[in-house]
Amino acid sequence: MSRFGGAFWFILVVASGMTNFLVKHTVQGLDDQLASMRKKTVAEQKSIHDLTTDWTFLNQPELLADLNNRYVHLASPSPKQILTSVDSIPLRPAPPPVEPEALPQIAEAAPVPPVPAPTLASTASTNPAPIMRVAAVSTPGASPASPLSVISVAEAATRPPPARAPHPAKPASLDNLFAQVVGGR
Amino acid sequence: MLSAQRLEDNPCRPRHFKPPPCAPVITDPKAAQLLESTRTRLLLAAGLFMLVFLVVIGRLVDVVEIEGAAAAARTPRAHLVAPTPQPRADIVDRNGTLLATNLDSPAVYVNSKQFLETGENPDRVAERITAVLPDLSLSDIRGKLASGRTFSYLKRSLTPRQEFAVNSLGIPGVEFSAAERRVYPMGDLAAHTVGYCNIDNVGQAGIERGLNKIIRGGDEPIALALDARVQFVLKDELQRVVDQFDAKGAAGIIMNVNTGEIVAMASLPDFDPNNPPSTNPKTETELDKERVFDKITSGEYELGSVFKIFNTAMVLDSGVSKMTSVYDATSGIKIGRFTIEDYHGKHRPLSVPEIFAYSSNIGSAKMALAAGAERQKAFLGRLGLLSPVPIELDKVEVAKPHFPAVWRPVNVMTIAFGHGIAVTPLHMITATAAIVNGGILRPPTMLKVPEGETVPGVRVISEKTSEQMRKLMRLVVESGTAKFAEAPGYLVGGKTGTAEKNLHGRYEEKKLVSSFIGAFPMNHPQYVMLTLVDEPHGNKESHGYATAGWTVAPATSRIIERIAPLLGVAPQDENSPEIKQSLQIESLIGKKLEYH
Repeated sequence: MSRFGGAFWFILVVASGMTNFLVKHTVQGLDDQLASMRKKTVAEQKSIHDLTTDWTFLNQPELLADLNNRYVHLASPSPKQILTSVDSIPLRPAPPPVEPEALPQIAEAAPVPPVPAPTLASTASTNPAPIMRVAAVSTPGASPASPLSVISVAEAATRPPPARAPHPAKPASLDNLFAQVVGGR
Repeated sequence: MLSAQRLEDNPCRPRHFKPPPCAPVITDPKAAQLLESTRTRLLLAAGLFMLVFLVVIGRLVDVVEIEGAAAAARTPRAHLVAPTPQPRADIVDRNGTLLATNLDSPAVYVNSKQFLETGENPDRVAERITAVLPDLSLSDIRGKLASGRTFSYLKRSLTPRQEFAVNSLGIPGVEFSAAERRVYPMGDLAAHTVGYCNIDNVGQAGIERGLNKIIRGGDEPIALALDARVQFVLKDELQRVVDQFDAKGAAGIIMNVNTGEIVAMASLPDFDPNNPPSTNPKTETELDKERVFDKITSGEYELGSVFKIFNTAMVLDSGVSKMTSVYDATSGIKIGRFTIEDYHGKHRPLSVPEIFAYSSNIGSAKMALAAGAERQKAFLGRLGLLSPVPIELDKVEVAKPHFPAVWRPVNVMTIAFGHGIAVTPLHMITATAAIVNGGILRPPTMLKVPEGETVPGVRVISEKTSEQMRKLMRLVVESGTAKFAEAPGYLVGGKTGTAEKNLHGRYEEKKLVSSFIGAFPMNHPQYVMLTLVDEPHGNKESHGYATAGWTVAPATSRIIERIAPLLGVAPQDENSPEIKQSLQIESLIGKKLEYH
């Protein structure tokens, strides 16, 4: 009995020791993995933060406005160009009645009803510029603040670009921002 | 035991028979007793060890099999990498655009001792460093490399690119030391609101100073009520006014009437918080002072006719006057050496709406006299115009209003049209918001109010008076002094004010402060806005006028047209019968205001 007892205890001790070692080893491995993952995450977060700063810097409304004045000449939508509901979109005027002699077959086969497609007829007729969506000067990370449907006609064709002196040399990247900060202190 | 011993002693035992092992016979009873007790102790120790092992095994099974992840979560992980805490929390605008943040700006230094041990040529290495950092002098670097000292700065505040470039050179002995800098990526956009920090990361102005403790202690970004896009538009148009009228400066503020949130606030001239002007009394110039000075919160102005908003609201709310009441404005009021006159006198009795629309000083003074000093003082006090505005700024930056210690009849009359009392534009806008929003005064805030949250306030005038005031303010834009402030579709209403500056106790005729305070849309106001221009000079386009109607009113119109779509204010058809009716003044139906 004592021999069996001894063997039992020996096996138990060895087994528990082994298990202990294996568990500890695995945990250490996982810990290392976790640590390196977190290190990478922190580094990634830091570079995202730096890039966000850089992006914000490059998106200063003043710079964007200057670029707009120089290259694309977009203008703020005038109140008339902002439609607040679908009902305020005017319908296309009904086409003149088709002469029955001129197109007898078509008229009989399928009478064409006036198309009630919503268009910007009123603005488009007075302004031949291409219809496009104009985004107001917006900053990064800005949520779509306006709940209105801003549909407007680019005024590029009608409005001459504002004669503005070229913007004073603004720093173009984070390096220059730093140079500014450091230069001032 | 004794029997085994006996077997051993037995001479007749079989040869192959081996007696079982047994303890030696100890005859000495003392020794035997000692042995016995030792044996017991041994057994006890073995038992104890067994118990410990059993506990260990039990716990192993418990941790691995039974508890599992729950136990893992409890385990402290001291050695894990955590992001380094920021010296100051970020500041963002209401849409999350970064206004102030921290950037790593390590310094690079030379450990010359370590460098010299490598045996590299300082000349060649210095050349390599200048290739990356061209603003450093070659001889200076060479000197530092060869100095033998363990620490000398090569350059402080490196950019991430420069740090990478220097690190890529792989020069032994060229090391980095970590440091952080406060940067303002939007530059001068909201200089006065955000403020700036000194080199020790202590806030010196604006929110940076007002909320210094919170910003220093927190990690979460501070969200301001400010909207960077609206701020830009406001600043852009104010700058245009300054340029157009060759003015000394300008200021503007836009506030949400229902929450008190300041969505834009600008004071020109301003500064770049990345490179703030000197505040050292020895080196500080006049321009530096002017740039740092925030006209909105620190500037006190006798704002003139815009005060007629409060005067009219007071008489209407207290029941002293009705919309139909008439006051004689035929001739000026003489008080000692002075005479209260009208700028464009009608020289006839005027009704309350006419007094407001024509901005009659005589009529306003008479209205105030009818109400009396007590009532006037109490009303202005209720609107918060006699005490500093409560806001998230340092007390030093919020000016105290100036008003007469003894409220004499002459003061009552001049205060009626905004003279003899000096308040900040922040006072004006806060009180005006209460006048137009239905009569609830709410403290202004520079911090974002979560969407859907209602801000508590105090009722200062009745809803009916507020409605009457909205109609009157709309009248001023429709057919009064502020026709140029009209922005079609946005139902602008407001009041102009042109005041002569009081310098050393004398009013200077040529030095004006022209202001316009307006709200939109007047049938259901959402935003209130104040624009002010300091010492404008009339030009050809304005026919020589530098009054508010010619200077800031057109700017207001342009600003509203640009910001309304950004703020989600829908244009309305002002000719629709419902809107016309909602803003019509009954007593003026059929009459025509002839404003020149």
